[in-house]
Amino acid sequence: MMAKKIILIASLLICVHVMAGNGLQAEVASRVQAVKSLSGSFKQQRSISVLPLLLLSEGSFEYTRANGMIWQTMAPVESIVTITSSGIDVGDGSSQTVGSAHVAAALLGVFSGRFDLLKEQFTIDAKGDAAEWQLELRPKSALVAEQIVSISISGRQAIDTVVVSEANGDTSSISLVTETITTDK
Amino acid sequence: MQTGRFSWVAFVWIVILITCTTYSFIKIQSGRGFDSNIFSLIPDQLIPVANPIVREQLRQQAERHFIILVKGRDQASGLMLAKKLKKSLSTVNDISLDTVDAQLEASIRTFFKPFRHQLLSVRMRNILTNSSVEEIVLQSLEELYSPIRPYSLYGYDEDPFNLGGQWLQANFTGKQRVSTTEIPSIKDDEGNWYLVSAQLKRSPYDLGLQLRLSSALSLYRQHHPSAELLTSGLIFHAIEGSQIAQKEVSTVGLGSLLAIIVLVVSVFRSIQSLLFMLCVLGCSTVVALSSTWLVFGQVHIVTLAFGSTLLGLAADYCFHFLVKMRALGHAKKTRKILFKGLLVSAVSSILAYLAQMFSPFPGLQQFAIFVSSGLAAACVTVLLLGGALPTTVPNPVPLGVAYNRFFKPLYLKIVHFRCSVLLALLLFVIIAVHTVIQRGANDDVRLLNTSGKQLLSTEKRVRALLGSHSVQRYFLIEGKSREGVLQKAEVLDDVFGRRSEQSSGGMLISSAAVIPSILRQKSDYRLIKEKIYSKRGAAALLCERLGSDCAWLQPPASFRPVTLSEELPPIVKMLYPMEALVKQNTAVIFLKGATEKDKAWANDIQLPGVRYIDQVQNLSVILMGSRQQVSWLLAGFMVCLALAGTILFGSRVIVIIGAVTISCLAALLFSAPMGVTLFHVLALLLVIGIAVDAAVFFITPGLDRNTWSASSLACVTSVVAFGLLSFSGVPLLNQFGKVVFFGLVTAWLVIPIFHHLVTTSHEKNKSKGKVSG
Repeated sequence: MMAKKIILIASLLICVHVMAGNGLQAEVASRVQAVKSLSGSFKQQRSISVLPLLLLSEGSFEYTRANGMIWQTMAPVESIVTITSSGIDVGDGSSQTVGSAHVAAALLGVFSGRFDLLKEQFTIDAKGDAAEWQLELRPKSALVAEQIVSISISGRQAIDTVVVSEANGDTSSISLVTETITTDK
Repeated sequence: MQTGRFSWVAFVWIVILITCTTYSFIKIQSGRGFDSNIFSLIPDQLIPVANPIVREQLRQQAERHFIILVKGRDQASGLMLAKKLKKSLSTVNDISLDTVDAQLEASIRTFFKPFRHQLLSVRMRNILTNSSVEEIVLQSLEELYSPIRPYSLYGYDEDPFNLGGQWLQANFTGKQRVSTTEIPSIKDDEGNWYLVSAQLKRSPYDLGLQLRLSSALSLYRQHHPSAELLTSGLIFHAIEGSQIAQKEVSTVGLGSLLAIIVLVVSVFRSIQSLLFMLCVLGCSTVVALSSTWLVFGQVHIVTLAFGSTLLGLAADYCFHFLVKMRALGHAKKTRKILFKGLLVSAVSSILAYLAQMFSPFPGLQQFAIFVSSGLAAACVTVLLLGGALPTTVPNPVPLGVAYNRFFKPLYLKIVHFRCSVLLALLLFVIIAVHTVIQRGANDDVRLLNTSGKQLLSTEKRVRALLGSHSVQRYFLIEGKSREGVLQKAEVLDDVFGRRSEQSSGGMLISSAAVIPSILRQKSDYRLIKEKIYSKRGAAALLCERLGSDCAWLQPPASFRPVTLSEELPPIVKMLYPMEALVKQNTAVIFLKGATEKDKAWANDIQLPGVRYIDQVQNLSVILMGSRQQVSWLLAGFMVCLALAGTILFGSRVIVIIGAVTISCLAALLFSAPMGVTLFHVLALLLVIGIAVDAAVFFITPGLDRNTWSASSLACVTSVVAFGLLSFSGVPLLNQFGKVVFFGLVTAWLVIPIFHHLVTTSHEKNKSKGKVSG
């Protein structure tokens, strides 16, 4: 009898948690979807498992609903990457590998608030509240999981940090500082 | 022949019939008695390769793979429906579903890992060859510091410049357009399509397999009406082809049978006559099937559809016998009188069909065996069984009266204007020959097409969505050694790559990509060692820029070529089924996304040991060759017929030759508006057979109301059979039906005219002889 009660309470708690998560996702999505354009700077800290040092880089980013995202690295080397719904352009005409395509698609999905697209590839676990939220993306497909362990995105008014954990032990943490933002309202 | 001898022959015949029936029953029960592969009807020259293993591999590549794209109302339901489809297909015997899971992908990575320092993608080879060490390092740093870093398939210490990763991506992981979702998917304007693909363990023409797959799919469609399916693969065309052919067989067979029953019952008003007719038709069908199975192992469905017309031909003999018996009132007398005519007619028709055995056309050979054995059986059964019929046939409809009262006077009137008739016939011949020549020939491959528009359009859509290449067009490289073949493939790849850079044309799917030649592996190894791992190479400079001592770096081991002796992971074999051919010193390279201009260029390419093969064009050439061969066969047969006819019938051979010529020309004139095809010419053989049959009966025993009635009845049954065939949706059956229909009607009309022309001329000559005498 006691066990039944525990199971019932646990199930209820899970349901409440899931419903709360879904509600938060919807709230974050609607807030992000209202953004027409966004720009700012980023700082990246990358750890490669075999390298005994952290790779630090910085640059700027720009998101527009119509044209997707542009990531411009300025230091220590310059490079530019454009992410649109049709793919990734690194400027030299080469296509990107599967793993990076998933990261790019996840970033674009979060910035555009298209969580329906994200759900094709990832399970989304939302934590926190509308003032300070965190989304944990985990690959659904074993093929993607071979490359990416998780993508963690947290934010308040806009996205603040993105952490990508790769299966080979490498991690990338990107901190974003939003400078301009235009919304529909 | 004496009665005793007839009894003995009848006994032997019954034994043969029982054997044939048992054999046919066993064959039908085995489920492997019928074939529906349309290509088994044409000469086996579609794949012009001498090595049978290579030919079989190419055939299997084209035949044994299929794809189904599934879409639901939304993504979630689409995924669920795709999973259910996979589950439902997994229960079908002889189908193996493709699985590209993480383990299989990992097996590729593991297999090629030891060789990562000697395998370069075209792009990386170009970069290493043309860029300085500084440029290579700069690009590597750009990727390393970018927020969207290209994913490296090996650890950074194992492959810091992602050379192995780039190679694997170029040849495997990045090869497909589909997303690696739970079930691979592809997106278009309508939504997400989930991909379910499989390999067949048997030929797609295996009727049992076709039935199992189509049943599973229709059950799935029934249970999931919201699922939208797009199919691609030969099996679906084979299923549709078989269904159409089976429908045609039952339509034509049943139509002929009904026409015969109605005619016999209404004209002869006798159950005995009907039983006699059905017995003859049954015996002829059983013998035809058994003989074909005995010679070819399988009976093609198209042969059955064509062969259904045998019923009409076999019925001819019965009609002649019944009509004559009614006139004479004595079965044995009838047999005696008709014996020569029936034998001559049957032997001439059988020889006409058997002559087709010399053609290199398997379909024609099978048809020849089927019809000639069936005719022989019909003739023997009529002679044996007819003689035993009771003579009391109840009052049949006097069809001959129509001949005596209407047709004979009409023919005599026409023949009265002898010169005008001859002139009109000559004029018709000139106009018909001119028109047929003007229209020319038609060897379009669509003649062999049995697929409906919907199936063709979904096939096209799947190809467009997946960007898959055609397995009908490829470069074939043959050589004395594997290394030589791979080197040639690489030369071709380079030539094509240079052209693609200029014209942004198609790319090559090369089996040599999986295992490059040892020469190329060595040269890539040297390039990597020099540009990356030498003292002043990119690796050293990269470490310097990163401020690292490079202790973590794993330099390349000594060169060890990856060869075919290595056990390739199954997924490699699945993605590159043609790879197995390299062991046969052959490489097959497909063209992907090539424009018409690229294809024309590919056709003109001149590299020693490299051939461009376009099977679609090949098929047209085969059709043309076969059409020409059958036309020559036809011409040869006409000459033989003229010679044999002259020996047997003297000047009365004109009746046969004239009737055959006019019937054939009329048939072509009215049924081939878009040009003469192989199937028109094939059908002419049948027109000739039937026309000769009727003409011989008019010569011996002679044209009177009995032979005319029998011929007319036989003509009506055949006209019904072929008339039904001319409504067929399958181009070749349709053409066949139309030619024979028009040919038969013309033959029925003109044979009596020719007969009367010749007879009156003979009579005139006789009377002149008497006057002069």
